[in-house]
This record gives sequence, C-alpha cells and structure tokens, in this order.
Amino acid sequence: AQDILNQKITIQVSNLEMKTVLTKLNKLTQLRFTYSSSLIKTQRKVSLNAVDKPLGDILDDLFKPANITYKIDGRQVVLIKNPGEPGSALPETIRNQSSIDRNITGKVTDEKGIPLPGVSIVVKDTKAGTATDSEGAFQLSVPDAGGTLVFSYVGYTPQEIPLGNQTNYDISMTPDVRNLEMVVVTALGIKRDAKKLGYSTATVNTEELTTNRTTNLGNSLQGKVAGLNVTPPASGPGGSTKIRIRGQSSFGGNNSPLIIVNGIPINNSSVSAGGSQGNGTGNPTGGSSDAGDGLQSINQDDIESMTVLKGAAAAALYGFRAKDGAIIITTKSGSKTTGIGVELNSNFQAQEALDYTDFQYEYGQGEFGKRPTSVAEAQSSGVFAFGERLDGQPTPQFDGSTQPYVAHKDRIKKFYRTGTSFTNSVALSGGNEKGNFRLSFANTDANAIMPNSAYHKRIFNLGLNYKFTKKLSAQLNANYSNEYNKNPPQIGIQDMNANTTIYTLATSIDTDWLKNRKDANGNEMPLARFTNRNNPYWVAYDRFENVRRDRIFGNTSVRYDFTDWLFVQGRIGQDYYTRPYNYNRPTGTRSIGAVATGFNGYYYQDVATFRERNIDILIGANKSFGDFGIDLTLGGNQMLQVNDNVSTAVTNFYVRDLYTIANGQIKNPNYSYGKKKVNSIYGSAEFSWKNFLFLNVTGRNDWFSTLNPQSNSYLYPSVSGSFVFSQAFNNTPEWLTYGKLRAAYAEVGGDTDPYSNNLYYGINANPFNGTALGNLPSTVAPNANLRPLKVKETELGLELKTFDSRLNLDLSVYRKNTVDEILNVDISNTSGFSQTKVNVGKLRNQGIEFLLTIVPVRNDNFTWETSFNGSYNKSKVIELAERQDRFDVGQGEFFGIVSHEVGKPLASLRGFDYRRDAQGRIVTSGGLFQQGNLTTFGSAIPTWVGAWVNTINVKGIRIGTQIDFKAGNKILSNSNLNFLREGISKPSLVGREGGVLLDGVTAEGTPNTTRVEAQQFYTQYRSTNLAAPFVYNGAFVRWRNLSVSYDLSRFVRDNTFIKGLSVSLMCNNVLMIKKYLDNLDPEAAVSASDNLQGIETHTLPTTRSYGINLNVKL
Amino acid sequence: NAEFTSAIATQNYQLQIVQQINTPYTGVLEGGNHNAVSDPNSNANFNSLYLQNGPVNLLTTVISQTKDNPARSNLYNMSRIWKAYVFMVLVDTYGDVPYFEAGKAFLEGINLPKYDDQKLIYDDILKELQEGTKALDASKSIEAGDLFFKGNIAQWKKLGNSLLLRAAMRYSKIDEAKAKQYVAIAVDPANGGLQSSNADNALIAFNSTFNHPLANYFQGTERGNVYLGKAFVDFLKTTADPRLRVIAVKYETPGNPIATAGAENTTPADQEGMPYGYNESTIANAPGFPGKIGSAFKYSQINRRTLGKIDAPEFFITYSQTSLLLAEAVQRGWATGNVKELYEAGVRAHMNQMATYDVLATIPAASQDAFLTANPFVPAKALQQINEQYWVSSFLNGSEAWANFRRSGFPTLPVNTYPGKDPSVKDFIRRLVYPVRERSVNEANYLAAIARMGPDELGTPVFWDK
Repeated sequence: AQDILNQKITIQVSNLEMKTVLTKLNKLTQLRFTYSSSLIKTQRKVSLNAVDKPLGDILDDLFKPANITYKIDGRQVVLIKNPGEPGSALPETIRNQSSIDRNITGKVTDEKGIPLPGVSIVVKDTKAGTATDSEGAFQLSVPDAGGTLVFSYVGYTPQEIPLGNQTNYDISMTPDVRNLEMVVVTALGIKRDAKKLGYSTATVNTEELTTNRTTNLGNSLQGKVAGLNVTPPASGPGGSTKIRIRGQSSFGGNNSPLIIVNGIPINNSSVSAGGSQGNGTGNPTGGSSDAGDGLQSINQDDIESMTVLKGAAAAALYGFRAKDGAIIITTKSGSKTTGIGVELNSNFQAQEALDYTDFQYEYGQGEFGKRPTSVAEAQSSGVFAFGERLDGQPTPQFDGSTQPYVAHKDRIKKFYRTGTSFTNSVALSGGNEKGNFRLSFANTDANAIMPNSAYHKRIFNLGLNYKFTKKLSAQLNANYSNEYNKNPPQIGIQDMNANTTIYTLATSIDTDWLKNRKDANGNEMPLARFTNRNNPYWVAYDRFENVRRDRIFGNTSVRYDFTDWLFVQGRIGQDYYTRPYNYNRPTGTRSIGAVATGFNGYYYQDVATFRERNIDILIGANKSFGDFGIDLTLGGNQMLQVNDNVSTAVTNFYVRDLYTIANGQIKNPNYSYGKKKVNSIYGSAEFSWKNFLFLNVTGRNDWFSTLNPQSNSYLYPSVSGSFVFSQAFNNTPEWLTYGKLRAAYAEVGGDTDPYSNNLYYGINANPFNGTALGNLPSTVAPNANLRPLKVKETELGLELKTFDSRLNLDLSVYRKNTVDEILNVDISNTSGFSQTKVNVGKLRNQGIEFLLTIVPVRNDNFTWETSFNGSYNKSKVIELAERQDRFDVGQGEFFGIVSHEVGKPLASLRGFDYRRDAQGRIVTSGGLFQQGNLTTFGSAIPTWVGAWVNTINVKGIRIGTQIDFKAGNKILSNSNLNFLREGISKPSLVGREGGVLLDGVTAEGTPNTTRVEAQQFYTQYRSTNLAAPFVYNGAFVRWRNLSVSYDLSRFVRDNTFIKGLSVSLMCNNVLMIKKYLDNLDPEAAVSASDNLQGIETHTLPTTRSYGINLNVKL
Repeated sequence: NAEFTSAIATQNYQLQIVQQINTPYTGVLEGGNHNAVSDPNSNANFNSLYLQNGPVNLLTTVISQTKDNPARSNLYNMSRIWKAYVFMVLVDTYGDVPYFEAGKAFLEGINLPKYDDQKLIYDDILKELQEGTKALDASKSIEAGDLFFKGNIAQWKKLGNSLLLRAAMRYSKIDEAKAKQYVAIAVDPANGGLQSSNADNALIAFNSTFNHPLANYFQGTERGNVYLGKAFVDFLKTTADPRLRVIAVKYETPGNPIATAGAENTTPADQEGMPYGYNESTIANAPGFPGKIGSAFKYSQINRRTLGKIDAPEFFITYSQTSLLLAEAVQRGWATGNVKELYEAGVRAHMNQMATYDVLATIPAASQDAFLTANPFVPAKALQQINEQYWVSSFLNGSEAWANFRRSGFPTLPVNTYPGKDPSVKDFIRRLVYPVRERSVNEANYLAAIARMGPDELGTPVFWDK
C-alpha cells in the first residue's frame, strides 16, 4: 500500500466536485475509490494544485478538510468518515469506542454471486464502517442498540439492511439501473460515457445471448436492437445470418455491418446459397448450400460486451468500411478475478422441423386425372398429385412395390429428424494487480434436421493483459476456431435439393418409401419425369459436401502512457483462415447427362485462404480547462487483404464412385488471387463543457489501391453533439431523471473489389483439339474511373429516463443518402457484357427507431421490465445510371426478379402478370391465360421491424420472452408455384372434375367459356412464368422465445467450492402468431444475399428448438 | 475462340418450327410446338452470341485490334467474314438488332447500343463478306489457331463466298436483282469460288471435354421428353431415305441414360414422328397415337449414338447446303451450271456427312445411288426438291433450316393449330421475340427498333420474309 501512496502524480484542478476529482485520480492511478454517497457531498467543490507530488500527500490534502479517512486494499481505496483521531490514517476497522457491542460478519456478492471486494459498509448515522476484502467478506463491530447497515459500491444500488439479532449478513448487490454514467465501447475501441455520444448506439445484453443461444451468434440478435433487421436463411446449423442496420445502404448485395473484435475488423463474408446454376455441375463455386459466415467463429460465452454502432456517425472512424454501421465485440478478460476462476457452461438444444403445409389430401399421385397403372408411370409422376380420388386401392409405386392409394400427411415429420446441438465451454481466468488472463474452450456439435448433415466447431479464445510498469502495458487476444460443416443442405434451387422433392411429393406417397433409392445398377431410381427432382435420400447420403475452416484471428497491442493525459498505442491484428471445400455430384444422378467416356458425375475441391492484416497506431490526449474539456485521438491504419483460391473440378471418372481429382478424365484447374490495400489516417476531437454539452468531430482519410491512383484519396468527416438537458438546468422537474438530445452528421464510404478497372483474359484449362481457347472471365465490363461510394447520414435523437428510470425512451430519426454508388449496372447484352461497374445512383433510407422501456414493478422480490423496440425504415431509389429506370440484381429459380427501380423502394420484386385487356380482365386463349406484362409487386424489404421484450425477475427466477414482427414486405413464393402446378396445394382442387373455367375474356372480349383440364391449366403457370398468383405479404408476428433461468448460487455457495450455479430453460420459435404465406414460414429465406431477398424457393423448414443451459462457476 | 463459341445454345424453337424435333411439354421446353412465347428459349441465342465470350464481342475486339495491323490482316478479314455469319443468324432470328454499336462496352464505353435497321445490317454483311474474302491473302501471316481450316486461305475464301451466296439468296423474295448481283460475285471463280467438298465444311468438332451444345438436350435431364417431328420422319420414310436409319431410334426406356435405355430399334418402318400442336395430355388424342412407355411416349427419338452424340460436330456452313443453294440459283437463272448435278451433289454431300458423326452412321454409296434413283430430280419440281433437301441437309442447324423454310416456303409443313398459341402467329413463327432483359435494360433503343420493324411478336416477319 505504501508503494501506491508514494507514487508521484500531477493533478491540477480548481473548484471541481469531489466526485469528479476522484474520477480523475482513478484514471491517473487506476485506483478505485469506494465510498458511501453520503460521505461526499456532491455540492462540495475542491481545488488541488499538485505537481509531481506523492499520492499520499495529495489524498491528505483532499480528504482532511472533508474529514474523511481512507483505507487501501489492493487497488481499492475505501473512504470512511474520519472518527476524529488524527494520525490514524489506516485503521483496520473503524470503531466507535463508546458503543462497541458485538461483531458481525458477512459476505457481499454481485448479482451473479461473484464476491465483490471493496464494498463500503457503514452503520447509518454513525462513524462505524469497513469495507469487504478480496473475497467479499467483512467484519464489523456494531452497536447493540440496533441501527441500519448501508452497503454501497460504485455502479450498484446502495442497500440498507436493518441490524437484527443474527451475526451473519450475506448481501447480494444489484446493479444500479439508473446508472447514468454507462460506458460504451465506440469506434476504434475507445470507451466513452454514454451521455457524451451524439449518435445512437445500443448495447446488447450478453446474458440474453447466452441464454437464448443459437449456433450462429448472429441469429441471437433477432429483435434485440431497434433498427437491426436480422434474417437467418433456412439453411441449417452451419448457415449464415443476414444482419442489416437501418435498411440497406447499397444496391449491391452486401450490406453487412462491419464486425470488430477487440478493436480489429474480422471477415464476416457469407458463403451463402443461391445464384448457382442447374445441377451444380456448371458452377465451380459450388452448388447452392449455405456454408456460413464469419460470426460463427465466435463463442457466445467469450463475449464481454457487444455494442451496435447504428449510424454512419458512430462508425465514421472506420471510414470506407463504415457504411452499414458496426458491431463491436469485446471478449472477456480475467480482470474481475483474483486468483483462478473456472467457469463451465453446458447447453443442449433439440430442434424440430415446423410443418406449415396445408396440402390437399383428396387426390393422390397421378397425372391428368389418372393414377399410375404401372411402375414406369409411377416413376414418371411422383411429384404430381393430379391423380384420382384417394380410395385405398393397391397402386404401383416407383420402386416396383404396390401400395394402398391413401393420403400420407406427415412428410415433414418423417423425413426431417430431430436436430440437436450440444455446446460445452470451459473458461479459466485469473489475475493479480500486474495482469490477468482468460483462456476458454468451447465445443459445439450440431446435427441438422436434414439427415446426414451436421455442424461441428471448436473455439479457443485467449485474452492476456499485463502491466509492465505503471506506464507500459500490453494486451493480447487470440481466437482460434476449427469448423466443419458436413453436407450443408442444398436450398433455393431445384436440383439436388432434398427439400424440393419432399415438399412436392404427391400426397399419396410415404416419404419412407424413398429410402429405396437405388436401382440394380446403383443409379438413382426415378421418381418423377423431372429428372432434377432428386431422391432426397440420394441427396442426403450419396451426395457429399464438406466445408472446413481453420481460422485464427486476434491482435496484440502495446500502450504507453506518457503522462496522465497522453498515451500512445500500437496494435497489429490479423484474421487468417484456410477453407478447404469439396463436394460431388454422384455418378448415376438422374439429372446429370451422359458422358462420352467414363462415368458421369462431378467432383470439385478447392482451398481458399483469406488474410486481413491491420496495423494501427493511436495517440490519445485529454485535458480540461475549467469547465472545458478536450479529448483528442489521432491514428493511422494500414489494411492489407489477400484472397486466394486454388480449385479443380473433374468429370468423366475412370473408376465409379471414387471422387478424387486423379480419377477424373477431364480436369478443370483454376486459381484466383486478389489483393488490396487501404492506408488511412484519422482523428477525433471531443469537446465538453460543464459535463452536459459535448461536441465530437472526426475525420478519416483513406487511400485505396483498388482505384485509379489519380483519384484514390477520400476524406470522410463527421460531427456529432449531445446536450444533457437534465443536468443543464437547476429547475429540472423531479420526474425527469435523465434527458439528452443528440444530433450527428457523417459521411462514410464503401470501396470496390480489386481489379475492377482492368480487362483480362483467361486461358481455358483444357485445349480444344490442340488449340488453346481464351476467354473473358468476367461478365462485367471494366471501368477505370471508379470512386468510392459515399453514405451521408444525418440523425437526431432523444433519450429520456423518467420516474426514477421506470419509463424510458430512446428515439432516433435518421436520413441516410447513398451517392456515387459503385454498381454493377445491367447493360445491354449486345454491348458485349451484361454489366459494367459505374459510379451512379442515389439511394435514400430514412426512418425512425425507438426503444421504450417500462418497469411496472420493481421491488426486492419482483421486477418486471417490459420494452418495445421498433424501427420504420423507408428506402427510395432516387437515381440510377443515365437512361436507366431499373436494374436487376437477382433471379428466382422458377420465376421472379429482384430489381432496383427509380422512384420505388429498394428491392422491387418483379414478375409477369396475367395478360389483361384494357379493362384489366384476364385475356384467355383456348381457355388458358397468357403471359402479360412484367409487373412490380412491391419491395422485398420490410419497412417495420420490431419486438416486444419482457423480463421478469421473481426471487432469483428470471423469465424472458420476446415477440417480434416484421411487416411491409412482399414474398414471391416459387414453392407455391410448384405446389399448385403439381396438384399438391388446396387451390389446385378447383376444376379437378370437368376442368378449370378461368374468369377471363377471349381475345375478342367475350367471356371465356372454355374449360381446361386441371393439370393442363395449372402447368400453364410454369410455362408462362406467371408470378402474380404467388405474391404474398411477407409480414409475420412470432413469439420468438421464452426462457426461464434460475440462479441457484445461494444454495450451493456456502457449503461447496462452487461460487455460482444457474440453470436456464429456453424455447426458440415458440409460436407463429400471424403470417400470410401459404404452406411455409415467411422466414424461409434462401440466401443471406440481398440480391435474392424476397424470393422463396424450397428451403429447409424452419425449426422450433428447446434447450437447457447450465452455468457453473468455481 | 469466336468460332468455338458461335455454337448455337439452343434450337428449341427453330427445330420445332421446322418440325424436325418435338416435345409435347410446356414449362422449360415451351416454344415452337405451341407457337408460344418462352423467354428462356427465345433469348438463349441472343445472349450466347452477344455476351462477352460470344463471337460478337470477341470478333469486334479482334477487328478493332487488327484493323491497322498489316501483319494480322488475314485474322482481320477472317474475323469480318465470321462476324457476318453471326449477324446473319441474329437478323434472321430477331430482325433489327444492334450491329454497328454492338460489342463495344469496353472498347468505346457503349453500354446501351442502338438497334440497327436489319436491311442496313444485311447491306453491310454483303459488303464485309465481299471485301473480307477479297482481301484474304495467302502470302500474309497464316492464322494457325483457326479452328475450321487451320488458317487455310483458299478454304476461307470458299467459306466467304459460300456465305455470300447464302446472304444473296436471302433476297430471293424481295429483291431478285440484288440477289442475282451478289450471287454472281459469290460464284465468280476469280474470287476463289465456293465450297467444293465436305473438306470445306465449317464445323466445330466437339469432343469429350467440350460437348455439343444440344447434347445435354438429347442426353441430359430432358432426354426422355424430346422426339423427332412427324413431318421430318414422314418425309424420310416416304422417300425411303437411308438417313432415317441413322437418325431415328426407339429406345426401350427413353428416360434412362443411353447405357440403360435398353433395346434400340432403328428399323425405318417402325419410326414415327410426333405430330405438332399437342401437349402431353392432348397428344393422346392425336391420330395414330402410339401410346406410352412409362413416362415417355412411343415416338422416335434422335439416335444418341450418332447425331445425338455428346461429341457430335456442329456444322455451320456445309458443302451440301452451298451446292443446293447454287442449284437453286442456277434454276432461277442467276448463275450457270447443271441443276441436277448440283442437286445430287448436295444430297450426296449430306449423306457422306453422316459418317462424320459416327462410323455407325456411314451411308454407303450404293444406298445413296438407290435413293437418287428412287427419288429422281424432276426439273418441274426443282425448287421444291432442292429446298426440301436443304431442310434435311440442315437438320440440327435449326437457324438455317428455319431461315430457308421462311424464304423458300419449302417443305410444305402442316400448320400447327395448338389452342393456346400466341395470337400473333398466323401460320408459322416468323421471328423470335427479344429477351425480356433487353426490353427492360435497353428500353429506349428497343422501342425505337419495334417502331421501325413492327411489334415484338412471333408473327412479325424479318425484312427478307415479306
């Protein structure tokens, strides 16, 4: 303790509150001052003028006039009212000699049962008091005559306990929800008081993330933050998550926020489904499975805090990468612990596939009103239910058997198994005053609901801090993950997609029969004349696909504090992974054509590596001059990103069922490489006045390697301010606990891919009859004059806490304009390219987001907190390229186009309407409708996203529930087209007997009187690519989750070595309250890409999961 | 590579309009059999010919880079000739198309090319063929990378002249004088002459790595759903054409891959083509419906071991076609020669061409003689006979068969009366509609084109088809 008192420091303050001075001392010395709030009168102002003086002297100068003494315990300084004995500066226990009657003991813990050292305990209205030791224990002599113990600790609600007869007082402190001095981690890892921020941020409750755990961290964010739109594609446990903040700022497909872990960006690109062709043999980048994203490599249990920086102003310091906001994740370190702590967490979940189908079960398998009469006919019509009325008569089946002609209604339950996921994690942590560490390991094994599909991951995380001297400290964080995604299901296409076949199977077929999948030659047995409706068991067991990833990311930083107000920090971080990937298309798959030699089929393998290195330096300074404060940060960063990919695809196998490169007669090797570099300098200056008025200005300049060197430098400025009006005026009404207004403006950017400005040719891997064939690998015409796009965002916000923080509101309005968008613009194919990259386009997103929190009940035994968060975002495409009214970004497997159209919201869903006459009547020809105009049906992006979250605490039992909703979007359902044209869905019952009479007119304008045979009629929807009947309102209201957790710590702590124990139960996707999409879940999205949003095509069913979580601290 | 990628991506419409290949199904196979609009099938050739690795873009780039380079003058002129061929296909299929501004996105930043008047395009095609052929020079650098003739200048001159003959004959309906004028240039031996044997055929010899673009149609997912057309089979049957035996087959299990398709019946008498104007349900009501084998119909299919092979060659311009066109030109008095000899040479050339597909398809000289004896050339029916044989000779080159059918009116095909047909189609489909994407992306130029040409419908004729 004497070392601490002898350290020499410099502090000059004049006429400041004692509390503020203590905060400054805390910053200078890392000492924590603990005191009862009554001890330090807030109105008391003090002045100090100490240059290079020992701390002990300064403390004496500070406390003596206030009649305060103190005690040092580790890094804690406990302030106690001076009993009036000069010289006894460090008493063991302060006694009031006149009334010592008895000793009491006890232990103080935090809300989670972890001992709290340094809690101040005083007997009310007396001079008796003490503080807890490093184990949270205390001992105190108290007067016999009764009285009240006051426990106080910074950040926690003070507790008053009447002294009774017992001698032991175990107290659990609860965090102060009114704590207004919340610290938020902002851009570049800078911690700031929330009240100083002029922009909107949201801190995610990490406890909710671990309770309602999902295999991918991203999915857990659903409904948690206003303005955050989270969509998990229905693609299995290893799939990716789509996260969008405040709409979509760019016409391009990727509008994902930047993910920062411990100050360094990590790659969150998604290898998402969609956009492949046909049977998967044409596209070397794979079929149409979703192989996950970057957030998967993070273990929920390692997260200390998670902050969402919503607007451009918040993320402005990230410059060109800030256009979609940022999610800042800080992983845990051992700083809270002294000695060794062990934490174990076990989580088990089971998922069941949800069946929303409402099919017809009156007619069975068959075509044109006839059931199959032979095996061959059964093999032709397996996905058609245009047969006869179900009558139970024996009917031939595709596998040669004869089966009764009856309805089989449980296809979903029978084919999809119960998914399971089991996650175990263990963390070790420890520390002393010099440093600390935390090491964790987590293992996840998840079996998908799709047979033979699984996802495994193992994650190690290490956090180290060390203080070499008072001024020099270092930090290391590293995360290693090993991920294996086995047979991620194919979704969103027709071929090799088990879901397509399961969902379109005729109503009289039992899915179990399909297990008989091979013919005598080992080839796939036919089910349907559509050869690409593959047998789902063939897809599950004969096809394979393996995605593995070894990934390490982390950073190390060194910080040197020159003085109390100036520091410099250097940091290097890297995200590196290799991703070996392979898949086959089995020999004998029906949809694959014959080959001239060898066996047909396809095998592909590649190894992708990715490296992003960031080197940065940060210099920070802060000073105050009277009422003014200034805080400056300057820094520089160099980012280097290198991608490469070595791949080979082979066909025409020599030996059957041996999937290796060497076994293929035709080999197509490929190599791709991309490298880009961005150099940046940035700085921010924060000015404060009297602790209620704050102004923050930032600037960042980026230099891009991907752009023309003549014009590759861009500056991104931002300015934001906040005014805490509740502290500015003396006559603030009693009910207003806290009030703040904020405003911000920022410009940030987005860059482009490397080599977008050059034309290059490739040479075909195989020569053609002795001559090399050249080709242009890109469909995009290069453009040498690109600039980065810019997002200009203005936001205003209001924060109110009223009635003792029981009614709180956080409101933001924003307008986000994207200009100079770098677009792959559709150009006429006749120009030689289908697209070119240009800087065009203006896009506006504006909206409002709110969080309303109400605490109707708050007492010792029962707390009920209810909150509503919501956002309304409206996008508008203001301008595209010259002479361009729209451009298309994606196309559905069966029909539907995603386009951006001038004057309309982003992501217009388009498709063909019926051909109509001038009066809008459907024009028929031979009783059949015709293809009409391409029509825009609406936007795929929901305008409303929100949730109602309730948390109830009853005597240690915590109940959480969330209902969320999305609205304002449309869905084009390719599945429902198939259900109708193949006679599976109920609307296909119309016209089974006697034909369908369409309510329309002939070309001459007379009413249509021609009836058309039912199958013939419904198949016309496919021939004409008609979309109009399959447009649905995409809105839904869903009871997302329910969880109950119980803290058992109090029962085990005293008698065992267990420091904490809690159990929670949860159910995810409890109930669909309202939806409009027939037969399916509106969340059954195909892809995390924005280019396929709103187009639904045969995904996995969504699931309901049940789980149990056990957390033990030793 | 521009030659290689000139392969025709789909003939779904073309082969059905000329009633050589048929399918009753709608959906992805929709097209000529129902006289209906189906964008994926009508846009395929447009896109594959224009897009970045298609011949228009590659040739435009080559032409711009070799134009002022005397060392590569042969490459320059070969490119002009081949570009002319590609644009004949495009104009014959769609009418007005972008020509002068096409393929210049990278070269000149023209992202939305104007559509040009098809008459002007053809005028330029005639000019390019004439100039390009003339400028070819055997004394200059030889382009050995040429996939047709390894740079042989004499053969390239014959190719240029044969194409010029083909282009000239397109005018037979609208401008006989012009036709005659250009036929004269094409046949002039001083200019290098016409193709004179099958060795002069312009073809791409596909192999096991690079497959024939139609092979997947015949052997892949739709193999069980594609049949030979009634008119085609009937014609070959009535004339006892020896080619029927090597073209047509009935498989025991048509839906299976060739290895497991079972017995292969190639007996000419058993072959039946599928009639037009029916769908998979109404076909059962067609006269002489042969019934089904499982999901498939008992109609004849293309032989997957011969013309339907994965590695079958694709013929663009053949001696057979050239010889038949010349026969017609002589018949019309636009050139000199012996019509009967030219006709018979054309027929024999195509029969000999069969062996190029597979040795199994070889047609012996005796069978050829027998055929010509049984079906002698009748001068009074010269135009009919010549163009019927041109139709057979252009089997699997649907674009050319369809163009010549529209021009000559032969063979006489039954009008397809599908009840749900597109109302614009009066007798036969006269052109294909532009891609939907083009309508959406290049709207202003698209509208200008249809204002000039007539509505973007299947019934609107191209300029030489009035």
